[in-house]
Amino acid sequence: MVRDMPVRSVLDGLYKMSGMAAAVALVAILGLVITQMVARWSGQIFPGGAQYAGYAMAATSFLAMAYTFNHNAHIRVGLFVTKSGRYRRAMELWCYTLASMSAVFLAWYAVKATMLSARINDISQGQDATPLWMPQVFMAVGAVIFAIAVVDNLVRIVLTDFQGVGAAESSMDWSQVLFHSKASRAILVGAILLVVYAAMQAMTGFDRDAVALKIGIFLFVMFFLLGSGIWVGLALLGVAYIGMIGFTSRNPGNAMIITVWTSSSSWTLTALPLFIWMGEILYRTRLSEDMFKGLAPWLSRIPGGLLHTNVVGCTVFAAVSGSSAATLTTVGKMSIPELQKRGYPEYMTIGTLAGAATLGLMIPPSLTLIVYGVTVKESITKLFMAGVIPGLVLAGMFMLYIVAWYFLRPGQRPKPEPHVGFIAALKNSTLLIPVIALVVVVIGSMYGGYATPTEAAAFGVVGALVLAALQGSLSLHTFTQSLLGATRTSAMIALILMGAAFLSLSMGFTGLPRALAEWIAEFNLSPIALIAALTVFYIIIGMFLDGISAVVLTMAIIEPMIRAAGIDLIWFGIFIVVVVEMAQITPPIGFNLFVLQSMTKHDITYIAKTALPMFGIMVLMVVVLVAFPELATWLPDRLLAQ
Amino acid sequence: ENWDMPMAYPANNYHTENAQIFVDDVRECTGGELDITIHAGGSLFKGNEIKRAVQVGEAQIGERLLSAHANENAVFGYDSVPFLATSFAASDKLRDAAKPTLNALLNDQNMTLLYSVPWPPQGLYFAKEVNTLADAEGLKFRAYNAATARVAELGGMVPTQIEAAELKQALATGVVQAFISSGSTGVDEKVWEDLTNFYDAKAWLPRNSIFVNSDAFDGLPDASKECLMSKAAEAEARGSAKAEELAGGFLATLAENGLTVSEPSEGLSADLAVIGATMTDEWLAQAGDAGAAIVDAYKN
Ligand code: NA
Ligand code: NA
Repeated sequence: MVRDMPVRSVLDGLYKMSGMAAAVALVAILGLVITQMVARWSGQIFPGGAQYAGYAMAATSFLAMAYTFNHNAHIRVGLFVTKSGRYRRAMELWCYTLASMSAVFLAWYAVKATMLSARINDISQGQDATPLWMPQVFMAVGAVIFAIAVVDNLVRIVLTDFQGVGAAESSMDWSQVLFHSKASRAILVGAILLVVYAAMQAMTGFDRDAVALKIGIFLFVMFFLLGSGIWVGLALLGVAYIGMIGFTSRNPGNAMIITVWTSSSSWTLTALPLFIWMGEILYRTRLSEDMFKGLAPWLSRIPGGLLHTNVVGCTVFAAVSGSSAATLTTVGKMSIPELQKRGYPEYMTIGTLAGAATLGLMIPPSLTLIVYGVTVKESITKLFMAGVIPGLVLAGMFMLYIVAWYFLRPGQRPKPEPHVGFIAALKNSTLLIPVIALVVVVIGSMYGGYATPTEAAAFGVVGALVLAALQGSLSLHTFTQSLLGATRTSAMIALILMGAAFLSLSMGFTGLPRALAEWIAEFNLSPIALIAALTVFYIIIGMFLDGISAVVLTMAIIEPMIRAAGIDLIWFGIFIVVVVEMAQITPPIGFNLFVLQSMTKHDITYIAKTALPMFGIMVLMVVVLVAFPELATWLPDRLLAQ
Repeated sequence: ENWDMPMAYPANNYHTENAQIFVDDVRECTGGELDITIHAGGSLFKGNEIKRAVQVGEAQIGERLLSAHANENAVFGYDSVPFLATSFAASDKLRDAAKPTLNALLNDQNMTLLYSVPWPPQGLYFAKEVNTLADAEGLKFRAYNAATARVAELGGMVPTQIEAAELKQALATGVVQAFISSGSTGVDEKVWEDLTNFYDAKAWLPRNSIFVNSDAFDGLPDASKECLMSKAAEAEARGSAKAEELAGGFLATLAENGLTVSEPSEGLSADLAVIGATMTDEWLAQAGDAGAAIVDAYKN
């Protein structure tokens, strides 16, 4: 034991240092984005600024992985693990063994790809002309430290009484557990490795044409890996791996790392950690408290009270950010503690937040609409305008749901807010000025032509820091805490995005989404039946893929069907956004569920249940859109007719 | 044999449609021996991943705007030297002149060139009427690589770095007031909503190249190789003809939607020619003997 001590402290120091380095990289993103804007305003050019920010993004994501893992901030479907009782240790051995394989696989190819980049002299295609191995070193180093951290945990579970990073809440009698000795634990690890080996043999052993069988295995593996409690990002890497070895003759690792690198070093992704950071700063100021004090007198007059802040907050923030995860973290960080303090039932708080945050995709700016618009060659300006009214209608429907809850479940109403007169309410509203100012600055920076939607996030961070400083709540401590918190959340999301990118590539190779779309095309459905079929289709693939990948993978087949059926492409863009929004909250792969799990520490199954009514509302929204297509088409037609 | 072919542009783009005919022809010619699946719109590998994916064998065949890789070797940018080749005929001549050099370069990287198809000529989009470059002074000009940044600089404009995904919003919010691209980009981005003038300067004709991994190619039976090469030649001719046919249509669409489409004035042409000469010299300096060989072969 004594001999282990230096090793332990070296390893722990290593994880901590890489976390610090990741935080520095996050600050670097901010610095690079600001430099690029300032350069542009002053007529200078900062060659390769976007690429450097992307590299810093990748460095943040990879370097923070081990640190995030040891803080138990990477998320998993913990349902069965926590309910496994006496078999907890066996379950954890299963999870850590598979996670180790996945993390080592990632690290191995991250190192290999970096060396390959140096060997084939792969050079950035941007203005920076950086040899790619240089920024990829951060990927390789981060991935290796991450692999070390996961394996380190596995070794400790096998050799000691340690139960893994997330084990604090479990308390059972170890003496009764089946696997109580080191030897039996080691044997179990060996057995798990055999099972994995057999599964891989099964996937590659069958004939190439046994497609249905392989799809079956593929789906089974996905549910099994996610359900048994493997960390989501690592499980997705594993599922994608199975798809690759089953359906292609390509080397899965080499293909994986190409797409993992692009997805983690992307310029447009840099807005995400910045907005998350902004949320972390605001959360540590009095701002959220002030916002609730300011809103309470007004919203408490509406049935449902302050629950509406979730919807209103998300709607406002949706106009600031193009992403659903950023909307969710920023608003949720502020509203969840405040609503809990006031005694609103948790399922309503979480559910409405999960649903309303998806408005980030519908209300402009919207990343989903940009991707769609570029794919089908429709005007992005028009699509953005088309999203405004349906976004507000959907927000209204969420609010109606809250009103309905208020009348149908009177027993769950919290104590009413103290009554405040009109003048006092107006006075309280001055507390809203800082928040409104921040939102106006961020939105103004975009529409005033000072910043692109990606860069606007930097305005958000700087604005939040200024507000915190003005309120006197900015200290070195709150600064580093907000920074480290943002680093962990970003790394958690980044790992899932990497897994999703590889899964999307794997699905592309399998041809599954395309085959399904082709199958629907064969029916030659009427427009209404086609929309109904496509709703079901996107709900199903939205369970397994993130929304944007689902659109990209299927649009080549869907677009001609839509054009042939005479459906307006602008309208269809809004339809697509609604179904992509649904995908955010459907298990097993739903980003808002993951983010909420990391924020509330509730299990994903619980969160999915709370979000189910919102899913129903979105289905209803599709019906409303079909019944009243003008909701989407009126504004763009009207504004562009001038 | 089943091959995967990642392509960057959507399925309804003429480059992709042309490639679809190509893979159908190859399938027929090889009697189903070689079955190539196209993955359009970056649905498998994204545009900037495709060259590496083919190079290391993760995809056997792919399409890429090779000039994007000019950082790696200036020769890849042979098709994007301003005012070197300004018509479809000249572009084809330049392609033939560059073929041996380009193919040798690709061979060194374990790839084999099959064919390349041009985009319509690059013209200038402005938010105002521009008769000489003095009129454009101080306009914010979109730069997305070293060459376009240089165009802005030499033209007295403000280079403004905007990524492709954000171009439309940058136009809509006035972050960008001018850029250089083909007529098809203008139609795709619906530029008439934001800018007023298009000058058909025919600065250069960028090309999309289709190439195969050399190991995959060498592994084919001779008959399949012949099929691939002969159908590639057909695809190249067909694609170039299609591009030429479409070029006028794009400009007509721009004009129909209210953009003022015109030839550059004499003054503007003269200004642009100066920029072209400077940038050709700069490119020759970067591309060295290989570049000189291409230009010499082209000019003879
Ligand atoms: Na938005
Ligand atoms: Na989902």
